[in-house]
Amino acid sequence: MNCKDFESVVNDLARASVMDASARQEAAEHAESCQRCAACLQDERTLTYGLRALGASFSELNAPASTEEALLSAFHNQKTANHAAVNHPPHSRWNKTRWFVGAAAAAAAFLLMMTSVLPLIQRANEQQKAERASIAEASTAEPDRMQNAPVVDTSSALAVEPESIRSPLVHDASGVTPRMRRNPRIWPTNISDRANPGSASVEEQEFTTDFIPLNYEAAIAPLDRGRVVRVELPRSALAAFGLPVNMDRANERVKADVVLGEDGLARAIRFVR
Amino acid sequence: MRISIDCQAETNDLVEAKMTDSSTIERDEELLRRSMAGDEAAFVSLYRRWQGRIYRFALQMSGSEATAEDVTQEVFIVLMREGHRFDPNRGTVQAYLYGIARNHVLRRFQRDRVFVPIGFETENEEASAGRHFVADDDPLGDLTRTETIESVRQAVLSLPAHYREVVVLCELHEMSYAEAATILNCAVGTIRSRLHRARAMLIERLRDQHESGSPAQPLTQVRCFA
Repeated sequence: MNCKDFESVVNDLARASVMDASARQEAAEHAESCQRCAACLQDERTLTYGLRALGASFSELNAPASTEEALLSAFHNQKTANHAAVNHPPHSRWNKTRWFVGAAAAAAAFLLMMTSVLPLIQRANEQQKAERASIAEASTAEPDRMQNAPVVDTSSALAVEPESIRSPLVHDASGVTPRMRRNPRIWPTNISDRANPGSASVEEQEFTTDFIPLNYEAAIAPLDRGRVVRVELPRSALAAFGLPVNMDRANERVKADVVLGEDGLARAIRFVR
Repeated sequence: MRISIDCQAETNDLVEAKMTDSSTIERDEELLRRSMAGDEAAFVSLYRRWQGRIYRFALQMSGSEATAEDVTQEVFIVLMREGHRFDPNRGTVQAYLYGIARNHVLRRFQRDRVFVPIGFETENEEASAGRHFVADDDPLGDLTRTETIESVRQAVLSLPAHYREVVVLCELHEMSYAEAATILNCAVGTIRSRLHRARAMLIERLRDQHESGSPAQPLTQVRCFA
């Protein structure tokens, strides 16, 4: 046995624990031949003696009697509480009644909600129907009204593309940029399917009025260059162009495309729905 | 493999102790079951069987009689209220009670961390430490023995908690590694290695005490305002 092996068994040796007899014999022989390990064994034995003496010094210590009294008192209290709980279940009758009261309250709340909310929903539907009818009337009357408006040469104005379309960085919902649209060969294969013209119909679903000139200069002088800008206006702005306005929704906003000249001045407008 | 005669005798003692232990375990479980059913006599019997060991464990871990009293009371309050949670498949009643006591002691340590120990005991406790070894006919030997006990007690109390609990259980309460492992909820190998390390630390500290020659200082706790 070497010093390292001795170190692993010295605790058991000093504590007189159960261990292999041959290991015990070898350890004892090693301790006789090695001074360092002998000193180590002596230290361990002294410690064991000290610890056993310390343990024995506590052997007669007990918790004070007051602790037992307090615990017995607590035990009585708990026993009484448990007994009361078994004999008198807390509010068992009220528990049944409470279920009925809760159900009745829920039913009453549901009825109240139905009677108060349903008329509001119906009224909102009627308003929407009336609005649709008025817009339909306005669209049928639009050609007649526009015949009296000054003639605008919109061909050149419409030749310019909206800024959003001209920008190479802007793409539509399918992920196609204007540059890609002009040159389909550079499309990535994964978006070529979803970007075909037939499927990209969101913009086609918009209904627009014709461009309405905002000043006489626009009607007289056709634009060489310009841009179309999508804006939002109060619905009441429709009235300024002689279009019908649903006054109940006057505070809402409507979309419009404004034609801007090179000088930045607005030349014409059309409303989008 | 050859076993020496004295070890064989120890083994026989252990077998006998195990047989006694098994009947003790069954008796403890029966007492606990009856206590939960409201049997006051069973509760008192269970308390009287274990209060001393639990109290001593808490005292040896904390070094404070007040803490030991509180912990003992809390352990049996928990047993009274939550004893139905005891699962015999997970361990014995002894392990259950020691486990509760250990948790409460460690919780105390956490709570009292703001207190800086500058000593271990009051004079009364110091005097009582070795009183069981004081014999009338050998005052010098008794004095030496008392000093030794006090030195060892200080050294044990200065150990980190996870080493101290192993020393208290295995050395002072003379539990086996397996019993200590059940209480501390760790592997037997962990107990063995911790005990080995703890004993090395104790020897080192006792040697330091011996070399400095400083007698046991009466110690108190002060509040740290840092």
